Order: sequence, then structure tokens, then C-alpha cells
Amino acid sequence: MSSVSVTNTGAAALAPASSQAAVPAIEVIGATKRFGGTQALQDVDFRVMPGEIHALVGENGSGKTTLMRIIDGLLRPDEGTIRVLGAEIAPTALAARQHGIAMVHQELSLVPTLTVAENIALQAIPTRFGFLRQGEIERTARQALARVGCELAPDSLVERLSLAERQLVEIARVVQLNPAVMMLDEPTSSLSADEVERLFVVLRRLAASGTAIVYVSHRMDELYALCESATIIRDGRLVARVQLAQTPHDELVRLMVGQQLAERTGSDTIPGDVCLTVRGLTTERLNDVTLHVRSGEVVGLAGLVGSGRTELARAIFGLDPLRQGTVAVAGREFHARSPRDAIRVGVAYVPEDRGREGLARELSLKANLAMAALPELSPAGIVRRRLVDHSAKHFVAQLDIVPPEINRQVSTLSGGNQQKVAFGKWLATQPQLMILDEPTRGIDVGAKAAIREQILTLVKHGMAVLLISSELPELFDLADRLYVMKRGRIVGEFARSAFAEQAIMRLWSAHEAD
Amino acid sequence: MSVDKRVMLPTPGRLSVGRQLRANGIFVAVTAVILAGALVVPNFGTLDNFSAVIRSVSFIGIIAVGMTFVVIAGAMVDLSIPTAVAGAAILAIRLQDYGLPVAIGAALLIPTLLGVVNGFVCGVLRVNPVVGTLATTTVGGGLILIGTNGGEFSYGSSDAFYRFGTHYVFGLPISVWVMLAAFIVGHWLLAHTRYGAYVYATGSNYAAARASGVPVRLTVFIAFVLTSLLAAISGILIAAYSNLAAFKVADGYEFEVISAVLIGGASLLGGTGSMIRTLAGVIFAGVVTNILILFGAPFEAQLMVKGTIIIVAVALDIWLARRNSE
Repeated sequence: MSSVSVTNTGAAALAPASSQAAVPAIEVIGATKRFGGTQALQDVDFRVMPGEIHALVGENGSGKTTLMRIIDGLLRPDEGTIRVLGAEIAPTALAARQHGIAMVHQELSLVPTLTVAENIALQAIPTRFGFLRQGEIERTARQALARVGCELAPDSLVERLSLAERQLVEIARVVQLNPAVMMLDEPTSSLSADEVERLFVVLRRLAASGTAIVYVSHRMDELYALCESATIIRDGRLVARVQLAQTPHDELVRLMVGQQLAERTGSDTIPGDVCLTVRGLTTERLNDVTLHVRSGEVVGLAGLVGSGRTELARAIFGLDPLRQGTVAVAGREFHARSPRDAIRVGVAYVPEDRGREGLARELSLKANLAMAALPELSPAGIVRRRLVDHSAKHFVAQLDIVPPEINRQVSTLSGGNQQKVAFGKWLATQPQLMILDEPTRGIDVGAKAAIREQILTLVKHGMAVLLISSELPELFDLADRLYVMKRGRIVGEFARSAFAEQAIMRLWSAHEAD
Repeated sequence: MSVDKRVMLPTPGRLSVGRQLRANGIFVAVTAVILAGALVVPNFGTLDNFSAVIRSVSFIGIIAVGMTFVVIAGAMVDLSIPTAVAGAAILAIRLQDYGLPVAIGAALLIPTLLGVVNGFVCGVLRVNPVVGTLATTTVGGGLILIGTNGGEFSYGSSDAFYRFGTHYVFGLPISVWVMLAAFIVGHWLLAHTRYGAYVYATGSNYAAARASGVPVRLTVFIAFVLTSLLAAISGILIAAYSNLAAFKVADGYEFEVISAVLIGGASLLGGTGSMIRTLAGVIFAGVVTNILILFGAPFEAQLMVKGTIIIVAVALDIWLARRNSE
């Protein structure tokens, strides 16, 4: 393998004039990381000064998370060095901890069965002669919670907390360590507007005391409100380091995306018959949900994480049990006790977590592409290899899966190509309705473009699509209509002509009257 | 300086050395032990010894076909094999007074019911198979002890049965032919039918298979029923060969069968393995035992070697898998 030379000329050239003399709190030089066939990071330089609030921006799958995990010592880079206040540190989690690097993860890392106080104390449990010092644990927790303006009782169990409360506990835990470098990965995805504002106050105060803050968010307005500067990465490469005050919004988006993505135009819409009808659907997590999707229509489901969008998809598809309500496809009512029942009436579901429910990663491309359509591919119970191969080759070509080798193990493909397999396996079942749960999350721009184009093509041929996405711009680009969900209910419906970011976000983040 | 030779090699080939070894290491190992046996061990290469080895592995091999389905389907292991084998052997011997069809019919059917229970407990109720089959084998063992007055030996009275069990067809014992047939049918089921595809899908990712419409519970259920059925067939052949049956006739068989499957490279995590590799694992275990016997190694030493081999085989598999995934 050829080696990539490590240079730091780029960093010097990009340094802002004001901080030329100072030493960065955190500096990464020439970070390169490869996962199997995927180049996750390629020679990326990154640097944040003490007291600076810096945005790390890029699309899903651009390598942001990989870079942060490298800084946090959770991933060892193939090449590159990490410096804290000018001194090189080992690429391990222990070294990162010792040098005051702390991270608030997107997937919360709290232990649900412990109390808030215990979770906050977890990294440095105060003991005397090996016994816990309960009072000390509580006192620390109370202080930490006060610093983030959170009024939770330290002895409440984490599993009883809402997502937003957990997020605040997670942040309190990290703030309490007084880190030299604090990284936050989408910390506001489940917070209300008030809570976000309070968090910003805490972060500004931390920065004023010298902490370097790395902030990751998809919400552009937050970046401009909080951060001074930004590093933009795309497809694992450094694109630019900019001062946000001098970078207009459009320019930032252009740097991030790098290419124009397919979107729905009004003229594409062919009004079809109603395909999916859901009436009064109630489950453990859903409350009286009623909606419909027509053939040839993309209907979006907007809402925060935990608002019930995924639960709705799972209930329709027979993965979660129904308590009340009816589901019908093309006028035919059915009660799916397992996905088999839903697949039989022409429903397909591309789950949000492709590793868990979408793919058998140890198996070949063709085994995965055949999995959902085995009854058709094995008449009389005998697998027709020629049918399987033919169908696999067809979908590999249609979705432009790279490399186009149907016998290759799926785990060796890049995230984007894996997602194409998780998507493509349903095409063989010729569904009438596809439920897509975050179909473009965590994949590269090319794969994202391919999947968006596929969705639009399928709809043009009369498919009904229910699209769950946490990215409003994606819903605005693709959907003909969208529903907003909150706490297991539908709280709003918007036609394409009435799409408005502000109104939708107000709906999902508004506090309830109670 | 000289040209870096690594650059000349195609990348995929170089990357997949570990993968190759993981997939085909067992064939290398089988060839190696057979060659080593033939070169160093006196009497190894004789026809009599060959016949003894394949007969001794055939009883295990028949059951290993079923266990391969269980392991690949991700249902870990079936520990109830000794009970199924002993139950079949005892029924086949004790019920001979009612005529051979009754004896053999009962010997096939009743242990297979154990598989139905295993399949229900582990496949449908989703009890961990280690616990589930350990429990069913304990219950089954209790039933056998009641039925045999506390584990009395019983001897066959049917000459035809004994003649069948010691019969040779084209120079090979009948049990070897049954094993070969089981492997051929097993291979066909696993590699060429929808059920086989379901087994791999279920074992590779249970949740994804379920979400793809694979009847995961039924798939696991059938794997357990198949295993018990094959254990029953093996038990009948053992009874016919020795013309006696006892409670402890198949003591330790579960370990031998699981060893053979795992040495063959199937993963306890499910989703990987093949019938041909299981056959190679069966032969490998049989040859190693045979070499130890020919060298006059005591039974205790054989146990220690067998135990060590399975640890090495599984640890090697995990190590290679981890290396591949990096």
C-alpha cells in the first residue's frame, strides 16, 4: 500500500491572523483512517484554539464522527498525530482523558439503571477505603447539574428521564470534568428552544474560561449563533477552515454538499389512489395516529428523535404489536403480526439502523439482495441460483453498487453502498409501499444522491413512499406532503406549498400546555 | 534496492489470506493429520484401521449434520443429544418384542419429540439454547431412568436387527452409508433450498432476517427437530451394531458433535459454516482420536487432547475473524 505523506503546511496557511502566536488547544495533523474498503478520513488537519467555539461541519458520512472519535482516542488513526496544547499525545482513550479531552456523544452513553448522580460520578467515583462516598457523589452531581441549569434530582433513575433530560445529564457529566477540549455531537437534537439557549450560555461560559469547544450540529442557525469558526469536511477530506462571520449561509452549504442533489418538482406529482391508510393506530408508544399515503406520493414524517416516527413504521410493518386501530394497503385491511404479513400485502421497510435490522453483514451481496424475496426466488422451496444471481446483478446495476461483485461480503462495502443494498433488497419484492427510515443517514454524498434519485424514480412509477427523516431540507426536497409527530401523536400536516421550517420546528419543540 | 514485492500482488488476494485460512484451514488440517498419521503411526494406513475410523466417526457424523443447522442458524448448540441417542437405542432394543417396525418406529419418533420440545423452548419461546437443551436433556434423562428401572442394560433379541447393524455394503459399514446419505441430503438442504437460505439468514442477523420476512422461529424449530431425528437414527445404528442399550451409551456425544462442527469452522455466533466443512471436522476429530489410540494413549489423555483442540479451533476462528474485520 502506498503511504500518504504527512504534512502540516495546510494548517499553517489557514491559521487566522489573530491567533498566530498562540498554541492550539487541540491540533490534529494529517489524520487518515480507512475502514475496510472505505476511506473515512484522508489527510485531514484540524485545530481549535483555547476559548474558541468551533463548528465541525459536513454531511452525514463525511467523516466528522470519525475525526471526533480519533481525537477522543476511541479510534486509532492509520496515520496522523494529535497534539494537545502543543504536545503530541498517544492515540488512546486514556491519553485523551488525561489531557482533558471530553466528548458528549450523539448516542447517549448513560447507564439507564443507575441514578443521575451515579452516572455523573461514573468516570471518577469518589471512594474511601473502597467504599462509595454517597454524599460526595450527590454533591458533585448537584453542582454539575446546576452548572448546566438543570433542576433534576440527583437520585432520579436515568431510565425514567426524557431524552432531553438525559442529554442534559450527559452534558453535565462532561462539563463537571472542566475539560481542555469539549466535543459535542448533535447535542441539541432532542432539546427544546429554551434548553438550547441555556446550553449555549453554559458553553460560552466554558469557552470564556479557556475550554476549546468543538460543536457538531445539522442546524445551521445554531452554528451561526454559537460558533466563531468552522472546519468543513466532505467525503473524508478537509474542504476549508472559515470564519463564520465572513461566510454566508449559502456558501457554507455549498462547501458542505459540493453537488446538487435531486429534488422533487411540482410537475412530478401524479395524484394516485390511496395506498396506505392508517386509522387510530395506538401502541405502547403511539397514540391514535391517522394518516394516508397515495400511490405516486412521497409523504414525509418529521419530528424529533423519540417522537414516534420509527415506532409508527415498525407498527405498520408488524415489528411492534398494535393495541388499537387499523392499517390497510390498497384498501385491503391487514393486521401484521410479523413482517411476513406486511411483506405479503406489498409493504417494504428500510430500517433506520441498517446494521441491526437491515443487513446480514457477514453474508454476500446476493444473499442480502435475495433475503426479502426468497419465496419468489425459490419456487417449490428450491433456490434457483440463476434467478438469485440475475436479480442481484440487476439491482447492483440499477443502484450502482460499488464494487459490483455479487459474491462479496456486505461488511466490506462502504456505508453508502451497504445502504444501497439495504434499500435494494426490497425492490425484488415489488412492493406497493416503501417505508424509509432515515434512508440517507450516515452515508456519503454519492450514495445519498443515488438513493434520492431512486426514491423519485420509484414514485414516478406509482410507488407510495413514507419517508422518515431528521433532516428537514431532505423532506422539503423530496416530500409532497408531510406530517409532524410529537410524543406518539400527529401534531400537524403540511402540503408541499406550505412547507415552512420555522412552523414545523415550533410544532415539534413546543412545550405542552400541561 | 529491490522492488517491493507486495505491490505486485493483487490487493484482494493479499487481504484475504486470513479469510482463506478461516474458510479452508480445516481441509489443510485434515490432510496434515492424515499424512502425519500415515508417515509416523504404525498400522495407521491399514484397511482395517480405516474401516474402524470411519465407523467410529459415523455415529457422531450423522448427528453433526443436524448440529450444523443449529449452529449456523445462530441457535448455539443442542446439548440434549446424549438423551436422544440413548432414548432411541433403548427403545429400539427394548421394544423388539413388539416387532421391529414398532421398535424402530418408536425409536425414531419419541426422541424426535425431544427435538420438538427443544425447538419450541429455544426457537419459539427463545430460551437460551444452552440452558433450554440442558433442561430438556435432564428431563429426558429422568424419563429414561424411570423406563429402565434406574438405568439397567438391555440386550437385543432380534437377529435381524443385529445383522443389519453389523452389515457391510460395498465394503463399508451400514452406518457409514447412512452418514454419507445424511451429509448429502444435509448439504442439499443447506446449500440449495429456501430453508437453507433461511438458516444462514437467521444465524447471520436474527433481527434483519425477521425484518426481511424470514420465519425465524420456525427455522430454528426445524433445526432442533432435524438434530434430534438424526440423533435418533444414530442411536438406532449404535444399538444395532452393539446389540445392547444403556443409559450412558452416548455420554459425551454432545461434546464430540459440537467439536466436529466447530472444528469444521462453523461459528457459534451463527451465519457461517458448511456441511462439507463439518464433514472435514468430523474426519479430523476421528483421525486424531485414532492416532492417539494407536499410540496407546490412555483415555484420560484423549479427553485432554480433545478439549484442547476445541479451544484452539474456536480461539483461532475468533482471532481470524477479528483480524478480518479490521
